[in-house]
Amino acid sequence: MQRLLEGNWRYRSDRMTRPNQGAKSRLETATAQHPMAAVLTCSDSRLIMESIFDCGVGNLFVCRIAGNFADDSVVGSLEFAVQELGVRLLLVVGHERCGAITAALNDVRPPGQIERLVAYARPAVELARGRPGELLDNAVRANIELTVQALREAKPVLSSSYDSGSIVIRGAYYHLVSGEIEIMHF
Amino acid sequence: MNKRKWEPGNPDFVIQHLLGGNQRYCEGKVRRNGNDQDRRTATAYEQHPFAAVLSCSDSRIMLSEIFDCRLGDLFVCRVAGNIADTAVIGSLEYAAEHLGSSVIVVMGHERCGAVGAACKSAGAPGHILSLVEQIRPAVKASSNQPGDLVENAVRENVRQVVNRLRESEPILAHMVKEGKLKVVGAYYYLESGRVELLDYEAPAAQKQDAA
Repeated sequence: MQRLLEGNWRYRSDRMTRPNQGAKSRLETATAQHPMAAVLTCSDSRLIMESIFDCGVGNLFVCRIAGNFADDSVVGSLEFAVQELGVRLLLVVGHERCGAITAALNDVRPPGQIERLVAYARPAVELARGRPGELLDNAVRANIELTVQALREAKPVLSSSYDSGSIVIRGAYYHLVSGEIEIMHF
Repeated sequence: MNKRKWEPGNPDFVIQHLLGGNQRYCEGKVRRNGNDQDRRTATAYEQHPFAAVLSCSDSRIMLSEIFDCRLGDLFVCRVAGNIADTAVIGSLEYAAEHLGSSVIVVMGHERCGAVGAACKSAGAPGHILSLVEQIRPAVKASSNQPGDLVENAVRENVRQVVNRLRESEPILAHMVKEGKLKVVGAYYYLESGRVELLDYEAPAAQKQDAA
């Protein structure tokens, strides 16, 4: 976590060192990967995880779907990271002005399978409605909380690893303009 | 080449643009212009990614570097084995219809662990099983082919996911039919960093431009 936060500080201040990139790193990791963390985040084009944490090839295992929800494929991917790759830290990163959460605030029924995504976001919106402050921002934060909770309770692999203390699952909020990763406390 | 008109709505133009970025990556000449405070400020209130990429979660795949793209250029979905479940399809629909991405690249890669797991006959624990089961049809289709099973299955899995997206009603299939969207398969080589497009033939005009 410390390494990730240091990388984020470099990113925010435009002082990226871009470690572990280029041909040499590709060669070193070609036959095996040992990522230091797994990140679940949104598909939004403004979120480049390797830049946000200023790291390189082989450092981050990354799952992305719009709205950073914990659907079955995402949970399966994260289980793979924990079981097969030995990852100990899972980080759920939601972000300012998330389009998937915004869609869930509207009453209009979205077309196609976007509707399924919006259904994932609804519990967070409900949770956020009771809280003071801006609804969208609260819903993004509530969604991070609910996703972290869902991962901590995902049986059998993640829940048992989390309960035994062998993995850490945390949530973070990403600020689009400043580039800051704000670790959430829950 | 620099004088080419910028046409983010033209799928073949976008594909050539991505391949150009990948060439720079392979040659160690990435520009990385557009990943700083100025760009964050400029994109904070809207995003217009010209392409969406579905790739594996593998830590060795850094998409923005592989295609030498700026912040805001690529809408990215990543799950182990680059499979397309409803949440992934919903995300890609959002990119194509709402954000205007004119290309979806489905990218598998060399030595994919998820495809490797699907090639083994043993069962998998927990939710990994649901991933593996979605890859199994590709493994089955590749089992009689000459060559390495995992590499063949990775390519076959990409082809099957591409077809699934192209046929996905109501949004993606419709956009493909209208020519507003192209869905292409790709294979990534871990060592060289090269992206090879599968079954893609560039129109003659685009080829000339890129030359």
